[in-house]
Amino acid sequence: MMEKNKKRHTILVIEDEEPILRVIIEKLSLHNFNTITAGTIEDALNTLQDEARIDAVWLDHYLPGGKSGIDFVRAIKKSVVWKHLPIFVVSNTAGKDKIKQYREMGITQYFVKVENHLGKIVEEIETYLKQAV
Amino acid sequence: MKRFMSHISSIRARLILLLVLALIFLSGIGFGSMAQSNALIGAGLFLIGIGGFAIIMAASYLIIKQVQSLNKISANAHAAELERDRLQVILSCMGEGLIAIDADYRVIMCNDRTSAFLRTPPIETIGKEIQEVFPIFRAGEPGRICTKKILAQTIQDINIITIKLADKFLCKNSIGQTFPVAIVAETLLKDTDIIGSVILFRDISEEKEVDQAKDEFVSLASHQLRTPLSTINWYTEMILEGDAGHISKKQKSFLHEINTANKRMTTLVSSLLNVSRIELGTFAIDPKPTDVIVLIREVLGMLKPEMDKHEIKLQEQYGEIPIMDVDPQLMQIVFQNLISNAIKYSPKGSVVGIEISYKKQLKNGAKRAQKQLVIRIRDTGYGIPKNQQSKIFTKLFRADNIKSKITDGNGLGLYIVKSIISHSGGTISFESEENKGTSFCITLPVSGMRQKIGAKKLGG
Repeated sequence: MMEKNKKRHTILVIEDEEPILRVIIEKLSLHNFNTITAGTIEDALNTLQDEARIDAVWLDHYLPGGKSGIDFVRAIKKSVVWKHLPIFVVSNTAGKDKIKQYREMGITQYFVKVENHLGKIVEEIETYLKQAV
Repeated sequence: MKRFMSHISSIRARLILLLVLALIFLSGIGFGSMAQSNALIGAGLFLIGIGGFAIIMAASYLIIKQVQSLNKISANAHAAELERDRLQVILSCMGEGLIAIDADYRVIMCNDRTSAFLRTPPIETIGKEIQEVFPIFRAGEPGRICTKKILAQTIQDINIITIKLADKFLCKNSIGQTFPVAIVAETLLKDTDIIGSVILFRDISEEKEVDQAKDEFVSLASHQLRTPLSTINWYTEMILEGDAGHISKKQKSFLHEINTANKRMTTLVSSLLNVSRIELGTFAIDPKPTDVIVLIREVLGMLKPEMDKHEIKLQEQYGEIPIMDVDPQLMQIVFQNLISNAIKYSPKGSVVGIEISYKKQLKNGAKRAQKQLVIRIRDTGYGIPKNQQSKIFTKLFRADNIKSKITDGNGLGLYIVKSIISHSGGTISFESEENKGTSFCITLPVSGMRQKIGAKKLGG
């Protein structure tokens, strides 16, 4: 039973690994999120130009196409429109230096895939967006 | 020089001898002619004969001696020359650059390889300041040439310094190219006086490439291994939580097995990654002011579920501990390994004790007792058999008594702990008795962990 007036948030999920992408979408849908997916940074940036109603980004670090999550964050932080878009980096590249770099660039949160329950990550995004509204 | 002097003096002695003989000869003739005596002339002539003979003998003796000693000198000179040539050849064949400097940091000699590395002819280097000829700096700090500062350690004191790949030093040659450099410098002594320093160095570009390749491989492998692990993790989690519909009790218990095995695999991948970094020597120690007690409590919090499962009685005893410079991530790995071992290798209902104190302890070889942080982690568990105690810090080693009891160990934990502690200037020891328990003791100097500059952090 969904409340009619409750806002359905839309998340842009940037992830190239098909099985992982499917399970993420599955879980996000169960938590009442709309999802849009992108497999490369290029894709993701194009999607952002077309879609006006994205509330948060789920971002992997290693992606095909020569650009990594870092490049995406850099592009977003430069954009006037998307500067404040919450970014949740969810990656297995758990190097402390990488995490530090992401944090310094102003991402919202960093999750290491193998160390976190999928449910927990989704709940944290939910809580964040609820507070932000 | 001494040899040469003794040679002169022997010539002088021989000349005096000749003079005496000549006098005898002259006086013989003189006497003979003065006395107009045949007998005396005969005697004089006889003396002339003897004198002449003596002169010839003396002269030939002198000549032979002279020739002999000349031969000897030239043989010595020849040997010295040979030795010098041989040294020169060895020096120029060396793979390393060799520079000797005096106590004023001026170059007194260098080998051919030095010129090749630095792109400067040897003649142009002699007499110059070392900093000018051999400018080195840390990666990322090209403006801060520190050759002199580093060599000062070997000139102000008798010392050997070593700069390795992990220290990330670069050298700039005369045409502006930089290359990664490894250096060994040692005080140059004459008797007991410091007269300069000898520097051995080489271009380690190749080692750096190999090291980077290996490092990238390790990171990539760990990433690649983790991706399928996360997939298994998340799908199992969803089924277990009922997101894919109802599951039976039996299915649930099987899925829990999959989940546990998967978690174990995840830990193994991280441990292997840490081990490969330890073996590469590339892990960094980055000490920060840390409250060790807060840190250990965090670890205890993470291990709470394990402790409850094993019904462990925890005893904590913390002294007054100042904020210390330790690497919190590394210390977390150390605590996590030791405490989870204490829990894992103890029967249900055992006691695990943790004591942290700050006390004076006499360190091996030290004259005065120094203040140290002492951390004790003890259990009343299975213990380590006496005959295997020497092996417990060995990689992949697992003791016989627990191998069959607890199957989810990988034999890497204590190896990692030992590496971290010894690289940071601390000590680790233990006492253990089978079926009574084990007690580990870590000490860290009051100054905290020793900083180690490395390419990678452990635990990443």
